Amino acid sequence: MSETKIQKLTLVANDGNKIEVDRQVAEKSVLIKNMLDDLGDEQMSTEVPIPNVNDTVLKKVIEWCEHHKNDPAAPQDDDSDSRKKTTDIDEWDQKFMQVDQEMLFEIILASNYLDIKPLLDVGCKTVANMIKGKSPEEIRKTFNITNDFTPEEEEQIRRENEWAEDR
Amino acid sequence: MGYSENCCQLCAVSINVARLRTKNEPQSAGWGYSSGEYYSGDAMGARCTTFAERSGCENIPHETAEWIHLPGRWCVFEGGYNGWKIGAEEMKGMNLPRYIMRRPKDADFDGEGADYEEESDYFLTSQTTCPPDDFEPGELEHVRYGIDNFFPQNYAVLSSDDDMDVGVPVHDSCWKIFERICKMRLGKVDLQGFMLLWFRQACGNCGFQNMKQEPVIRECREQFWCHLPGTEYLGANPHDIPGLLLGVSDQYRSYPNGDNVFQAHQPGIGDPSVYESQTDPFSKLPAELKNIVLSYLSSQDIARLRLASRSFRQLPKQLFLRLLQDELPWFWEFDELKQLDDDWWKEWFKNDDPEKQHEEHANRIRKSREGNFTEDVNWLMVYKQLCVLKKGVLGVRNRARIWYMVEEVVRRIAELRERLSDDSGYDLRGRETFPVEPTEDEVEAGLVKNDLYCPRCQVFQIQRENPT
Repeated sequence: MSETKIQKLTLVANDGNKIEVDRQVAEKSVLIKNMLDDLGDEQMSTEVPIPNVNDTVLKKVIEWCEHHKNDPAAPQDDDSDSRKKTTDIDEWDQKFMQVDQEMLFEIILASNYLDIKPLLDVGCKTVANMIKGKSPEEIRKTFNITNDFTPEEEEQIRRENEWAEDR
Repeated sequence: MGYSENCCQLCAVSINVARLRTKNEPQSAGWGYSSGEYYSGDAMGARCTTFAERSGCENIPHETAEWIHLPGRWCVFEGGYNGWKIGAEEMKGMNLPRYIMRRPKDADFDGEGADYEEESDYFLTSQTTCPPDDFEPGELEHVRYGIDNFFPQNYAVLSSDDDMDVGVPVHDSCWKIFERICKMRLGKVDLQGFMLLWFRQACGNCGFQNMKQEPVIRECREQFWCHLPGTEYLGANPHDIPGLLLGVSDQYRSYPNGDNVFQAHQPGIGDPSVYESQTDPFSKLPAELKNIVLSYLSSQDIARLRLASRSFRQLPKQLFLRLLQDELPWFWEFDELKQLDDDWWKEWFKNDDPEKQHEEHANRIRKSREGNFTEDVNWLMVYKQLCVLKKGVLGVRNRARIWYMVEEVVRRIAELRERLSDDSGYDLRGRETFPVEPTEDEVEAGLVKNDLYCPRCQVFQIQRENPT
């Protein structure tokens, strides 16, 4: 192990833009962390290409990692509290997620690719909260979905949905 | 509750539920006030006796009781539940209560009860061997701490200075449900907390102050339990339910094959014939991310989402296991259900020789001998069948009802412990033994309401009085 650990990394978004970040911040991404661990500091160039994420989204993701860089790592056991899943989101994260819909889905995809589980969860919770309690029409409006079901399809979906009403 | 009977503190139904045996059943299948001697409503005056041709009922002379009322299919006599409508084994134990009692002050835990008793000032008696009668608690199957005579009470009539001990009656089955929910929500069975709540919120009618018990329970509550036709489920054992597992086991299947619940013509991935909505952002998400979103939603939300986005036409089987646990939390027999399924397949294939079969069939036969036969269970089918059973099987219906009542009781216990901790300045959240009875401060602050009635089940209309 080298004594002089790299402290800064440069992330390269898919449009070529470079963003310098603290190593601690970048390591919120399990993908990057594993990459650093596998390669070792000596062989590691300080430029890390992130081919699946564009500059705007990457900046946004880094902003989140900056804010949460001191959070304790989440426990690994997924089963432990799955019964008490809430969609509560802390205030800072809520504000952070007030972005247009395209950006929201880009953040979700990027956090999945970079393997940042807490951010992925916040993103999915935000989407879930946008769905909760809404009628199908309201959901379509929220996400700009055009209704393209044929009457037959819709009838079948209603039939399949009976489990939810019949309790 | 009438003054002659006590109810289960948790489910609010009388301990003295009776059953009218049918003419084909032995005498042991009938119990309770089925003769007119004691019960205020005489079967001879019931409409089903007058219209015997419609009801199918018979009254036969009896040596000790004046008459025995043998119900027909359409009996309406309110002195007991109709044996044609509810089986004797379905009602098992529902008239044999247990009591929660204070342990004698100088007695150590006798090691006979559940572990959690050790930390509490209270203990649970055994079940009785006969129903309580008037103010008698009924013979205990097994006497602990030398206590065999006490006063069954649903609310605190006596002050603690009186000599006579008070026993709080519960159904054994309802208490087992309480134990289960307590462990789930609080991590342990909080017997002391139960009594904390009882002293502050007991209601002689509905268990605890302002519980939203089913309204029909109020109608059934006379001096003696009024066994209204159609309320048989209130007398059904909610814990041990004959027919529950068999009733759902046939739907414990993997069909259709694969990870998803709906049968579909599944064209290959990337098949251009699959219609893809251009405007739907969910179509960009891979299945595992859509599943995370779904994991935060209820059945109703998911149903509405499916009508909005075609990305959710198909749903994963595992999602329905989660929905089942969240939305039908009163079903817990997952292991038994799996075992029953494995036993059935073992039996089904027991005489088949895998060596003489073609490969696929031979694999199934071998698998039936290993156990763990049905993989990828379609939990949607199990979910739907449990909903059907809830409507049609009396014990299941009663269990679902009681589950939500007990959830409320456990929620209140947690809330009460929070409040007491704050008020007293001590952290009582973790401490088991401290005086359960309300302090004078609490009484003065109006925080103690322990009475025969609560505002919700008050019989007479409450009217605002004119200011004088």
